[in-house]
Amino acid sequence: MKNVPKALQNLADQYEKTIPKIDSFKSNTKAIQNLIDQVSNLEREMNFVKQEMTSIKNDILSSQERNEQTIRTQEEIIMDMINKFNEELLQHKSSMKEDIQNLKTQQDVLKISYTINEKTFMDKVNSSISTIIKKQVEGKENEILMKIWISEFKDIISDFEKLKKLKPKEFSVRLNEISDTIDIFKQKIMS
Amino acid sequence: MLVSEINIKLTILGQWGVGKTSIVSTLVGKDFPAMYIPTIGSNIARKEYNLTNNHIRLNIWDIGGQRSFNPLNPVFFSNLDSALLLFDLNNPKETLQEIKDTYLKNLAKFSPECIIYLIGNKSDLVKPEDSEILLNNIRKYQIQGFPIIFVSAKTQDNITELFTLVVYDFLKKLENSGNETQFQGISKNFLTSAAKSEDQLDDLIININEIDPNTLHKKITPKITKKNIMLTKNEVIPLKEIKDLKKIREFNIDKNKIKENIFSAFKNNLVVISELISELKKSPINALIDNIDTSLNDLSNLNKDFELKLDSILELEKSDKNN
Repeated sequence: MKNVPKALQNLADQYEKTIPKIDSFKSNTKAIQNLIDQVSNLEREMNFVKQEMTSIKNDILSSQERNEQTIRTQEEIIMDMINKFNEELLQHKSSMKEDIQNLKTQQDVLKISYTINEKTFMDKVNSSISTIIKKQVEGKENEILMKIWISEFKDIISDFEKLKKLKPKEFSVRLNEISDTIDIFKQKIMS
Repeated sequence: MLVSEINIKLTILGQWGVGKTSIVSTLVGKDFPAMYIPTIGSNIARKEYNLTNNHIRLNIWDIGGQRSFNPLNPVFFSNLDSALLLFDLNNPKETLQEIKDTYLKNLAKFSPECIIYLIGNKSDLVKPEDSEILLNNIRKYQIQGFPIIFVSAKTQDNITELFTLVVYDFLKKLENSGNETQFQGISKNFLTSAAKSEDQLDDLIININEIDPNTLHKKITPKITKKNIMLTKNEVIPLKEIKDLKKIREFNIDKNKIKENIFSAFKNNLVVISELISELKKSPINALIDNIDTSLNDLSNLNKDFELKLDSILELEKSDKNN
């Protein structure tokens, strides 16, 4: 090795020193290559995802469109139905107006007839009641008046003690009321 | 001019059939009852006397004497100013005994201040030969301290005079009480307006212990003969005590007449209530509370009386149905 020029030796030495670097470089390159591969893979995957997303988006859009179309169609159907119903209602209304008018007239006739019948009925009931009462009361009018008076008079007496506590004005009013009640009975009993 | 009102509450008490209602009827100008119809409960009559400055109202409570109608109810004895205790001059024993045993005792208990008169009715039936027996019978009961007066509702003897005396005595008592100066001289004014003298009224009173039988008959006979009273057939029907209204058929009394009578008394008492309230309205404020109390007392009495009358009518109805 003594014959190897120094420069070459140096080169060889340098080479020797570089080898680990080269190895490291190689290893780094490999790692970079791996990374590049991974990035490529990721890019591919991302593209795939992008495509998927686009596809989904398109699906959504198309589905939304379809739904909107369905809704619009349904709306139209419903509006058609409503319009139809309104038309029919209007038709019915106009046809019913006459019926209602007829019914009203009939109702009025019934009302009048009911009132007349009710009056006749009530007259009959009243007359029957008064006949029954008359029969029951016949000859006992005086006793009944006496009974009513006694009951009324008891109330007057029970009120009488309270008169002492009244102010003159109230006293006078209450006494007038008592006097009026007595006068009413007096008239009835005297007649 | 201010006219003051004077109310006198007089009650007429005595056994059934002594002529209480007849006396009142005669006084207030009604005909002498043609037949005996018992008074059920009370029947109030009024006799009014108008003086220049005073209006006197004699409220006469005629109380039914039949025991079954409860004449001894304390309500008939309270707040009385005067009382006439009637006995029958033809049946003095029984009717005086009733006065002594019951009416006098009740009056002493419930109205000790009231002026009492002992009145012998049916003087028209006293025969001259019976005078001595009659006087002895009356003396026997020794009901002393009360003026004794003989009257006849049928011939109207001494009736007006008797009530004049009642009012006069009350007015004298009012004067002597000295509470109200406005009443001074009122008794004299009353006598003048009644065209009577004190002597004439004194003459009514019989001194039972001193009077001679002959004088007695002379005292009552001349007046009776002045009247021409027709006796009706009904009057000779002997009176009987009714112990139960259900058995009214046993008595010779027209039931419908009794009912009419009760209802008429009911109406009459209703009018009295109406007047009582009207008088209360006129009460001066200072006398208001007292007047309310007195009125309340009278109203309560009348209420019980109304109930008694109604019950009696219902009893009569029942007896109708049962027969």
